Parts: sequence; structure tokens; C-alpha cells
Amino acid sequence: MGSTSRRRLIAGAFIAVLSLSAGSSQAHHAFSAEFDSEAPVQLTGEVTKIQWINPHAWFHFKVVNEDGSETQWMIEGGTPNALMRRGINRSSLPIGTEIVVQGYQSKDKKCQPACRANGRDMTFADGRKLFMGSSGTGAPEDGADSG
Amino acid sequence: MLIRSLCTTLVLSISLAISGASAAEIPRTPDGRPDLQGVWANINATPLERPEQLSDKAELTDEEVAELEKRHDLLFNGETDAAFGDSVFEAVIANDEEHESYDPETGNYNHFWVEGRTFENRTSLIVDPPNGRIPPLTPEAQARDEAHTAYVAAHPADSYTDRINSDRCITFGAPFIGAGYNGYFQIAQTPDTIVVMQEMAHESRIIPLDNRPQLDAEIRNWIGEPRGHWEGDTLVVETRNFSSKSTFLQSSENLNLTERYTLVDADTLQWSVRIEDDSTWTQPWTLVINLKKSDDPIYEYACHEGNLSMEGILGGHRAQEAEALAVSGGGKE
Repeated sequence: MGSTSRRRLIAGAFIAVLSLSAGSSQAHHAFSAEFDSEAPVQLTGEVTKIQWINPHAWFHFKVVNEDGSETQWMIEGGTPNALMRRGINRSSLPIGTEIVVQGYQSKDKKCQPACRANGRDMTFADGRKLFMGSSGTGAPEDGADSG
Repeated sequence: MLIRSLCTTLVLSISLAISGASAAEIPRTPDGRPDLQGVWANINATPLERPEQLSDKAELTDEEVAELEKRHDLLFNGETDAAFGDSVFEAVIANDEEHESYDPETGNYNHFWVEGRTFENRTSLIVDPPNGRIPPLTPEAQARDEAHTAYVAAHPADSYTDRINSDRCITFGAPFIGAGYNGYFQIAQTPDTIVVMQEMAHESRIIPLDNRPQLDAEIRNWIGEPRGHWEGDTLVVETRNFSSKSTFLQSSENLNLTERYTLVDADTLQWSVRIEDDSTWTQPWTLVINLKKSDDPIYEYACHEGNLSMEGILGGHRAQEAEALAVSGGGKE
């Protein structure tokens, strides 16, 4: 039996979406409590600082606007602990790396001291997901794969 | 004291005799108890409740498990939103290639932020009742739940006190059964005390084994007050004295937990939890999690110190209120 046939067979036995009220399917907090679903953003910029902290890591980066001015952004990620177990560390994403972030801006848009958004999707400039390399970090020329 | 010591030795001897060769294969402390020490991981994808479409299937075949593992690796290769808790199993069973977050308005971060999950043959953590489902809520609990839901809808973030305990970094409750998201525990053990420290927010449950009495019922703790004892090779922990401000699912301050920790082999610690709260559920129920030994340490989770999210949540709601006021012209002469 081919894998496709087997998949269909098993899918037929399981089917559909489940609904659980167990309350154990969430992260630390819901992003929709903090970010504005009507304010999607796509940002490209250079990483200036990373706070590898809990409950959520924060990526600081500098976005150059169309008029040449600069805006500092802070992007909320997840707990760094799972990344640490996969060998990712503070040197895995060097300062200065260009990344692309898709997410939603915070409900509070004061942008003090920096604008905030959630990092729903974070990639390198060439579209590869951060931290998803087959070994090391996947970061270009970060040296983590050597040896 | 001497009598208690003799009794302990007798129970231990009988237990060893009954369990035979397998008992000798587990690591033991110098005083002959099972050595539970080390780091234990809860990364299994088995959902708390058995999905309705698997209601007649408590066990998967090995072939089905292998298929689910393959699907998991394909679905969660980094392209989808992160999946937490039971939603990993849900997505894999449904073969949902477009899996989206439980939080559809804004989605969630990439799946690379969470642990890869493992699969076993069971289709629910709940072993009792046999249907693998949480028993119905009592009328009292339904009313409490509805009142709470209505309050949260009207007051999502008037103050930090309106946010749940985990948002506030106070506690993630006990038992903490969330898998794949800081679901690691480190156990330290002496003849008279066991400490179970969880990575999530570094909550430590200090479990005395010296037969001391329970706390007075007036004293209430966020994660209850445990008392432990050995029954043969199984560590039994009974926990009560929960605060009314902390909950496990919809539980009340009447929550009583009876946990049983049994070292199945050197790499598997079976953690059984019986949940009893007659003001919340119509009958007691029991879940079992198979914790796996991990070579990793538990990592720091300094929750409160880095909790910028609380500032963002409260600031966001204040901004929305100001915006609504401006639109309505409220507050202007």
C-alpha cells in the first residue's frame, strides 16, 4: 500500500476538526489580547538587539522608511527555551542580519520607545524561516554550522 | 519512629518481592526507593480528551502511530502557526495542512518556537472514565463558569487583576499538564522530601514524606499543599488546600489531587493524576502522562521579570478605550 493510500485510509478513520474545552492548547497569552488584527504589518529591517527572555523573546530591529527616516520596532516571539534545546543560542542570529516580519501592530500605537508587533512569520530576506536549518541555525554565514 | 521505619522497610521488601526482576532494573536511591531524580519531559501529543471521532478507539495501531509521526513532521515543518497542547494532535488527525492558531485574529508565531512532539498508542490522557472524556460539570460549576465568562467579556483588561494567573506570571496551576511548551520537570529527592520543579514559571512543589498533618483548611495556596508517601515503589501525592483564585480547568478551591508517580523503566515515569472536585465535576476523573527522561537541563523561565506582554495588553486596551471615546465625542465639552 502506497503512503498516499494509507494516508487516505487513516484519514477516513479519523476525519475532521476536533473541539476540545480542555484549555491546554494555548501559549502564555493570546496574541489577540495585545495586537490589533486590523493593523497587519510587513517589515524588513536589520536586527539591532535580541532579548532572549521569557515569557516571550523580543527582537529589536531598525526599519528604514520610504522617506529615509528610521523606525525602531520590537517584535514579540515565543519562549526561547525550546530553541535552546535545539542548539539555538544568543549568537545564532547575529546583530545586523536582515529579517522580514509579518505580523500585527500592537493595539497601543504610541511607538514609545519603539513600535511593537507580533512576529507571526519571521524569515530571512530570502524567505527561509529563521531557525529552521537542517543543522545549526540556518542563518546565512553565521558560522554555527562549522564543525 | 522505629515502628514507622520497620513498617517502611517491610512495605518496601514486600513491594520488591512482588514486582520481582523488573523492580531491580529501575534506578534506586541508597535507601532503596525508586530514584525519580532527573529531568522529565512532557512532549507527547496525546490529547487530554479522546476526540469524538475516535470514541470507539482507545488505542492506535503501531502503523497508525507511525503515520501520525510522519504527518506531524510534514505539517509542522515551520510553515504553519505554532500549535500548542492538544491542537497538535487535532491538526495531525485532521491532516490539516493549513493549520492556523487557536487565535485566528492575529495568528501565532512560527512553529519553530515550540517543541517537536512524540506520539504513543493512546488517544487520550484520560483513562477514567473509560470514554476518555472529562465528566460533565455540575450545575454549580456551570453557573460559575458562565458568570466568569460574562465578567471576562465585560472586563477583559480593566486591570492586571482581570488577566488570568498565567498572564500575570503568578502560576500555571497544578497539575501543569501542558505538553511541548516548557513541559519539563526536575525532581530532587531525599528520604523525607520530594521536590518537583517545573520549567514553566519555575513553580516548585515541595512534597513532605514525613506523615505531617494536612494544613488547616483556612490556609490556601496557589498550587495547593501536597503530602506524599510511598506505596511500594509508587510515590503517592495528595494535594488539597487550593486557593479559590487558582484553577485547573474550571476547578474550585475544593480540588483534591491524588498523584501516583511510578518509574516504569529508567527512562519512563508514569504520572497518574486523579482529579476530584465535587463542586465542579459530576465524578472524579483520572489522567495519565508518560514522562520521558531528558538529558537536557531545565532552563530559566523568569516570567515576571520579562513580562512586557502585560504592559502591552493593558496599554492596548487603554488605547482602544481612548479611541472609542474620541470617536463618540465623550469627555469633550
